[in-house]
Amino acid sequence: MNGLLANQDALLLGADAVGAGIAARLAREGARIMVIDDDRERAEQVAGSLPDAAAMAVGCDLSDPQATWRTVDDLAAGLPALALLVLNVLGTPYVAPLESQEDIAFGKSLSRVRAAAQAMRAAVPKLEASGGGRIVFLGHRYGRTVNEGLAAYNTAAWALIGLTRSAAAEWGRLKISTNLIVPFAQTAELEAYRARRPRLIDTLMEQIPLRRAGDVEEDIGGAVVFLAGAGGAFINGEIVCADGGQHIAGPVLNPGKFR
Amino acid sequence: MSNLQGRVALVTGATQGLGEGIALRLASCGAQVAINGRSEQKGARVLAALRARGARAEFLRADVSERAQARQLVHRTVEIFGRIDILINNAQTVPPLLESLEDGVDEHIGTAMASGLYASLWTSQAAAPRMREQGGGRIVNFASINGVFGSKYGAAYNATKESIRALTRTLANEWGPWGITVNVVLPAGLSPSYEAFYKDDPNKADAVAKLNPMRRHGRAEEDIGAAVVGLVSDEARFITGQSLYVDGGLHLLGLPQLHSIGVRSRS
Repeated sequence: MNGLLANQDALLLGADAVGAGIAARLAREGARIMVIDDDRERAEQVAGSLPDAAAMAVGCDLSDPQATWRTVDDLAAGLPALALLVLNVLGTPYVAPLESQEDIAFGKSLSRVRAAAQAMRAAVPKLEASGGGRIVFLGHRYGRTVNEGLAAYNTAAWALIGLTRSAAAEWGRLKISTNLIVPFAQTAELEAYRARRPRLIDTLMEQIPLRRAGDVEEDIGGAVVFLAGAGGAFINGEIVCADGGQHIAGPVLNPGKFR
Repeated sequence: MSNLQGRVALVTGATQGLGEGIALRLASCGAQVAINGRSEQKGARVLAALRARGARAEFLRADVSERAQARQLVHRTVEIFGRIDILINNAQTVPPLLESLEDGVDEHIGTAMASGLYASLWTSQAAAPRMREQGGGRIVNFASINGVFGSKYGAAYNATKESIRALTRTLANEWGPWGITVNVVLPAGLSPSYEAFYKDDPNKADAVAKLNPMRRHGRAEEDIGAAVVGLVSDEARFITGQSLYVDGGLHLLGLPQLHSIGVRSRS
């Protein structure tokens, strides 16, 4: 198999639209992928869409740190060439003013960060053994800035940066580099917002230097390949915005607020 | 490695150090490379290395701290190679360390800004219309962790490097609609200027390597060169306006103030 990630094993946690795009791009670069998702059927759909049995699917509650540790530990044991862990774990935002966000909202959001930490712990021996392991988080622009009505989600997204940088600081000596991608992706959700508030979304797009949302496979998956490939060897602890320049370009609109 | 077949790259300040490493990596990935510097002799050495890898390459002598020469450099690249896809604004004169109350800071700022900020602007201005015609392009500028942390006695260099980050974001916003991405790399890699900084005290080099989360210095070609190639490859086509540290994570833990200017600084 040719490609920038030929003959590597990868674990991908989170099989939403962005996860599906990443899986497709990793497969094109020759990686074998284990797709893990809360919804086993969704993981199977993603794995099944890839050519040549490049991927397998596993169901796991990614808001359960212990279950996530066990699953990743089991899977890692069977992957001789595990070199890449992709953590696309942020859940669905709970939209409400901060004064109405009860502990359960924070618990739900942060449990997925805790599960990600356990996935990293379970995978690190194999990543070290690969001689140049990579961990790539998918974060969110609200975990770099913030937005209103999303306190628990903002907090969880920011927590991923703390986790990214902690791993970078401690596991660099194991030749593992850990980075976080802030994606801005063309998804069904964004399309739905556009249908409801076309002028608002168009205003948002006009401010983005590259004038579009990213293709999940070419743009977001591409950025994962960049960090997982040869170019990512000495990039460690970075927040990389695969967002068409959205992070430099002005206000972060929250289409979800205008339902 | 990424595939840059058919792409034309111009690397300024490419006759040594990081620029040389970046040029070599671009060539290894199939790009045609114009290297630039002020010394024919140094240029000839790197040119031979590029051609030994089978790359189409030319050395173009120019002092990019002069506006006319900087613009002409880009135009000559297009004349020779027929296009320009990738512009790597690596050139930077590094003025000697100087306490900021001393006479001479003004001159140092002038030198550093001309070869850094202005040169990056002038080559970019010359290349952008051509890139627009071609449907897009990639510009990579260079900043420094020393600028971010304000390493002492480096006012001219530090201020120049931080100004380049602002220029990068501005050009990214203006030229994104033309398909041009503009990013800035903050490297920590071994180069002659980096090594000169350690010359007075070899322990300093080891100390900085140990501070790095990856417990080593960056390599010009395999680390900095590979990261730059990644940024100008298809994989990174949706990344623009980004400040990208390529330093093994050195910046995460802060930068010790290791600069000294002799007896005075120890008082």
